[in-house]
This record gives sequence, C-alpha cells and structure tokens, in this order.
Amino acid sequence: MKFRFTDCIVLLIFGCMTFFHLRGFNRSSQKGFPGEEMASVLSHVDFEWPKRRQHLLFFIDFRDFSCMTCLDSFLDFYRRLPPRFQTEDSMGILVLDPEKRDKTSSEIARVKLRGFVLSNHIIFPVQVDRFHVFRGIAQEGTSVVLFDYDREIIKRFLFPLRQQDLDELFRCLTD
Amino acid sequence: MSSDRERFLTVLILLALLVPFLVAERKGPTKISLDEVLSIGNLEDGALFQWVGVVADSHKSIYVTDAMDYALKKFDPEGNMLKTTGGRGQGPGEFSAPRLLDCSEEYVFVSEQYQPVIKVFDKDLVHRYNIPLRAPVGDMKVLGDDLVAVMVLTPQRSSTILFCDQKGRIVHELNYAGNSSGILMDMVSFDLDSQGNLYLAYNFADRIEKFDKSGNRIWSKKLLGVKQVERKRISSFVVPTEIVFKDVALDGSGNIYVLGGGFSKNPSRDVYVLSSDGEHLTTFTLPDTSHCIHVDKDNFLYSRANEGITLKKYRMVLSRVR
Repeated sequence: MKFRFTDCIVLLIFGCMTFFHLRGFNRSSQKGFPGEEMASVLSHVDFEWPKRRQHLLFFIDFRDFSCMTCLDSFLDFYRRLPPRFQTEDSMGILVLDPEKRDKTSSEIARVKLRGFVLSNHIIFPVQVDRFHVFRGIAQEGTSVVLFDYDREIIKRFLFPLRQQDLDELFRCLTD
Repeated sequence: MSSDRERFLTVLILLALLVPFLVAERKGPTKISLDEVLSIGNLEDGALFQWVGVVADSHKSIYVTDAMDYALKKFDPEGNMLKTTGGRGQGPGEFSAPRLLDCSEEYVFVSEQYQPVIKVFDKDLVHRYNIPLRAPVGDMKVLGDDLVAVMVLTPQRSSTILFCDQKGRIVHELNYAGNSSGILMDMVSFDLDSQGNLYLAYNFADRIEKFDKSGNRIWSKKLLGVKQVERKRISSFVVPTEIVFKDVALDGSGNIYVLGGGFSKNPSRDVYVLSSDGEHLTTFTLPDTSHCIHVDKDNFLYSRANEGITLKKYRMVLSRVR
C-alpha cells in the first residue's frame, strides 16, 4: 500500500513537470523562438496551405524503361506542366520490376533512372521504390496521381494520357 | 592356327571399339569459350545507361547507341569515351529512340525505332544526312558508304530485304518468304557475307536460312524443335508472344552466330554456331542476357550485361572437345 502511494506521488510530480514544461515550450514559441516554424508545421498538418493546393505524384514503372517511347506521353506531359509542378510540387517514385528483388537490380534501376532524369532534364525528385512498397499501384504501368485540395480530388491517371485526362489535369494545375 | 585366328579377331574387335573414338577426336564438336577483353560502362561511371546497338569499325573504335539518353557514343579501343552526340528531339542528329547501328569506312548509320529513317553521321559523330525510308527499320546491314540493306516493318514488304542508296531509293530487293504468313511472322534478323549471301534468323519461327544473292534458298534449318509460336490477339491484330531468335552475326570465317530467345535452354544467352553450310557446330552461353550480338572483323564478340549498362567484348576461344 505504501509503495503504491509513493508511486502515485512520483507519477503526479512527473505529470506536473510535463505540464509546465509543455506550457513553457508553447510560451517560448509564441515569443518567436521557433514560432514561425511551428505555425508552418501545424498548417501542414491541417492541410492549410495558403498557395499551393495541388500536387502531383508520379509512379514510373521501371518496365517502361525498356521501351522509351512508352514514356513519351509522360515526358510530353512533364514539359507542358506549369513550372512549379516541374520542380517542387511534384515527386516521382520509380517502381521496380517485382521479379527482380536483388541488390544489383536495384542498383541497375538507380543508374537507369539517373540517365533518364539527366537526359530529360527532370527536376523534381524521383525516388527508387527499393522495398517494393508501391508495386501494386504501378501494376498497370506508369501513372500520375493528382492531389487537389481545393476541389477535394485525389485521382490517378494512367499513361499514355488521353486528351480528356490532359484537359482535366490542366484545369486543376494552375501556376 | 586357332591362336592366330583368336588374335586376329581380338585386334579386329579392338579396332572396332577404337574407331568411334578416333573419328570423334578428329571430327569432334567445337567448343567455344569466352575470354573477356573489355568492359565498357558500370554501375558507377554513367558511360552507358541502356545501350541498344553496337558496331566496331576497322580502326577498332566502338560505336554504341543508348536509348536512355538518346545518344550515339564513340569509344576508343580501350573503352574510353571519346564523344557523345544526340539528345531527345526531331532535329538533325537528334533521336526519339535510337536503335540499330552499323558503319562503313566513312560513316556511322543509326536507325530510329519508330521512324522511317536512317540517320548518317561521320566518324566524328557529326550528323551528315538522313536516308528516308518507307517504314521503320527492323534490321539493317551497311554494305558501303552509299548502300544499305534493310528489313522494314511494313505488312506490304514484311518478307523483303531492300537495298537502298543514300537517298532511300531501292536499287535491289530480295523476297525471302513469298506471301506473308501473319503479322511479324516473317520478321528476321539478317546478315550478309562478302559474296552477297544472305543469312536469316527468324524472330518468331524456328528457322535459320541462307540465300544466295539472286534470292535462291541454299538451305533452311530448324534448331529448337519449336512447331509454332503462340500468338495473341491485341486489338484487331494477332501477334506472336515469344521471340525464337534475337539476332544473327557472321564472323570472318563465315560462321554464323545466332542468339536464341525465349525457347532456348538459357533464354537470351544461348548462342548457336553454324557453319556456312548450315551445320550446327556448337552452342555456347553468354554470361549475361543480351538482346543482340555483334562480331567484329577480328572475331571479337560484343554482348550486353547489367541490362544494358555494360557492354562486354569477348575473345572467342575455339577448341575441339575430346
């Protein structure tokens, strides 16, 4: 019984310290210490992005690298994008062949990606899906996912894009 | 008397047993082993990303087309990159999908995968002119500065080798399969020897053939026992699903090298070697899968490794199997 009581006291003290610590942290934030950063983080959490409310996520199927013209539609679309989608408001994921899971295959994919990015002047970051997380999404081939927070749309488009796909995408993608 | 007869019979039996071994030693099958002499491109250096076509000229320079960065690249005999040209585009010297490659004394010829054109460069990789064609090129062989043989991808001319000048005018044609037996079914890789004989390896049939320059079939050979390649309907077309033979090349002695596709024991690695008479001499296996093979004038073999990031050059070492 005595042990439990002591335990409760310790927990109470610890709780109070945590409470005051947090309050102190918040107060210092409001004074401008990391305040602006914090506000920025919170707004991202709440999806309160003041200007950029559309993003693109490309899933590039590695198998399309064996047929360069299979990626023509992707490259033509990339070149027509407003500048911000060619740079920081897009991201790419290179989805690997599910039958090739060894380290060398992953290295080969990385080298080919480098060649593809350099020769086509692609600026946005592209990551290699080394752990095959996105294999399911790329089963049908290379695609792009549009995130439009204004219109509350998350939609995937398969390459080659049809004219109606292009019309829909460019209606949402503004500078 | 009886003892002499026994001795005679013993010698006779021994001879009968030895003859097959003696003949086998004399006419034993050829074995080819590969000795790597050069490797261009690796996972670090970015020299090659996905090479497609290769040719070595009489000065031992090596030219390579790279589909990933739309480039034509030149390497010295030690494998150092000397120059690269190209880039994605439709302008002179640019590519949409560079593919096959061959050279004459003065020029390097590059085909585009989906365009009816051959782009011609000098040995410094400066674009000189285009050879316009009626359809994209399936395979090609340069016969001189002003003459190129092509197999074009069109239903109307699917089983014909066209000999074109630098303006794309057809100066001669050779039909090898009569009427077409279906879309892509007559598609071949081919090579020509110095006498003008034509060697064909069918891409979607188990058939290797030799024609003389007048178009007479000299021989036809099946190697793999493939009866028919499975076909699949895509839209309104019925197309074959598996490649039987991927490429063919000749060496300086007239031997024929055929790279096997999906029906081979080691797909895209087995190379069948035939004499100019069509006799199957031997089969050897490449260390890595390849989409093509090239044999230069000094009988060095070039093939792919690391899915097109590496080009390997091998010395072919011939030996007799005892």
